[in-house]
Amino acid sequence: MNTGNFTFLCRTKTGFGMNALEHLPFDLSCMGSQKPLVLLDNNAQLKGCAKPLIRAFKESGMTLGLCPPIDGGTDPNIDLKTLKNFYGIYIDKGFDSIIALGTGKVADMAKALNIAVTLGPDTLKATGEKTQITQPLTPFIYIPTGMGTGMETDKIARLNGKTFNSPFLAPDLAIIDPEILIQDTSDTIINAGLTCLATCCEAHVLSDNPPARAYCATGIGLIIKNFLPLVQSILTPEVTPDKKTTKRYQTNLAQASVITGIILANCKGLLSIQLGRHLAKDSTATPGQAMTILLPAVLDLITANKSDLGNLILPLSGLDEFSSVPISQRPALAIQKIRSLLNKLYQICLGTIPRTLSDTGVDRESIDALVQSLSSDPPPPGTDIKTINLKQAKTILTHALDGQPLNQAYLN
Amino acid sequence: METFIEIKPGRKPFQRIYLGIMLWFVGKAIQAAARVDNEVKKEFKGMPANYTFSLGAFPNGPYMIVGKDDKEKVRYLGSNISKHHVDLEITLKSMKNLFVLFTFRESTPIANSRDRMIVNGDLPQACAAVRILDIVQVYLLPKPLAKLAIKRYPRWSLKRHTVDRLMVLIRTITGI
Repeated sequence: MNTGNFTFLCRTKTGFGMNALEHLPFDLSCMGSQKPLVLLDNNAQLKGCAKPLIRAFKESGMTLGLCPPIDGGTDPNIDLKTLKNFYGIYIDKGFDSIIALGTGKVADMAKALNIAVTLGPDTLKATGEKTQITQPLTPFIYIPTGMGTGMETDKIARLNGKTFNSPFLAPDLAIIDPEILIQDTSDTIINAGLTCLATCCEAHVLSDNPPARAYCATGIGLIIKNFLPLVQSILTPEVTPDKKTTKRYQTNLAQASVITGIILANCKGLLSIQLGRHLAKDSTATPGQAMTILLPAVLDLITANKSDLGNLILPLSGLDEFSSVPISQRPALAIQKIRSLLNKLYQICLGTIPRTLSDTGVDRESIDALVQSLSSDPPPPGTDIKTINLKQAKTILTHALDGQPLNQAYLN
Repeated sequence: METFIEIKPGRKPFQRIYLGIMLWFVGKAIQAAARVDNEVKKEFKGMPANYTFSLGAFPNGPYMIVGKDDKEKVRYLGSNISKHHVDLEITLKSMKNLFVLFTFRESTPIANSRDRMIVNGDLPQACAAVRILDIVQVYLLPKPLAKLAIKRYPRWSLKRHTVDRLMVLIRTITGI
């Protein structure tokens, strides 16, 4: 519902492009930091991402601490042990800022460490609503080495099944430098790309937040221009473009994921995101795939003002197509564009990517059970997640089952 | 690497030496151009008496300091920023940024648009200093290099291209 009121907060400054890393010592110095601690994952360590970072600090007079790489596993005991180890290093050696080098778990670990070193380790033990982060934390820099899902620049941190939510958890600075980006696997890129697409599209249509919509349009434009070409270049080596073009795709997609985090922090309760995360637990689809499969049905069902849905054509297809399509046809075309992207992805991935819910192993009989599990799985405390309307959820899942449009009148 | 390591990232001696020489040369050339070129003279005339400006890299230089004394004489004041009161500081955010600028891979306007520069001082004087730097680079560099270093190569008279350029080069080297 458009009330005419909105708030928009973007705490993250973005540094993008060639030699963007070179500005990091200056930016840290402006934040009063002289001794940053770097957290990185195994992948970043193996592919030598620390080298360009260390090079950028030459002549800066600063000292860098490089933590042992974080294991990608999901064992909560190891996570806690690692965090305790990092906390000890941070306090003992007198570090004053945190750099997360990598995507996903590294960012979560860095945010948790930031809470521990600023507010004390006991803050992480408090549960749910008791965890109040109401003051600025130590400077936190996020340097992606690939495409993330957006949670890295979001105001949420997840550790060991707990969720912490505060605007102060968002990074102060995100630096996207082509020199530090590495080639992710196609699965990681597809999951991240589709998560970003679903987030940006839903927020663009359903959010009444003009700055967020502007960010969404930029994010969608970046994904549309770079996502499929990058996936294609990974999966079909014979059409691989030159290194410079591949780097351009990677940097643009990393920027799209940073934008997605900012949108997630400002647009609460995006239905395709919530349903997609839930669905991914009960199907073969990754969260990103599930979100994009559900997105057309969500947009079709929820959008009260169809012109908002029609306006999605502008970032999806550009000004020429937007102006050449009649207003009445735009909503249907916007939804079809999203479905076409999934179909094209299916073609590029030789049928390994689901296009509909039935491709993910969900059948008509299991929809009721899925809806029931939604009601028995309340949103985690401390998050902005809204309670899902079960009737709506059932309609969405039913129509996503075979990708059938909700409003058949569009086709006439 | 399985254990924590603390790194002191070291220095870039080659870049520091190269930039030291380039900044010395440009500083001396500004001093020379202020005596030869009318446009540079006019720019300095617009600056207050005893006005100094510097160009350098964050956090530890190298720097180039140029100043105008109370007799309106322009002098290259060396590279030690702690010895002088500087009215206008033009600083590149890292030494690599300054190196890229002085190896003509990025022009001054491009470096500015990529947010690589910070100015501490009056903006009109900063614009004047950049215009002076542009003119000096045209004097010092051959046309293909100068085109990379500045936004637009100027259309000068033949005298300015030949006699004035020669005078600037002689004065720069001899320091007269």
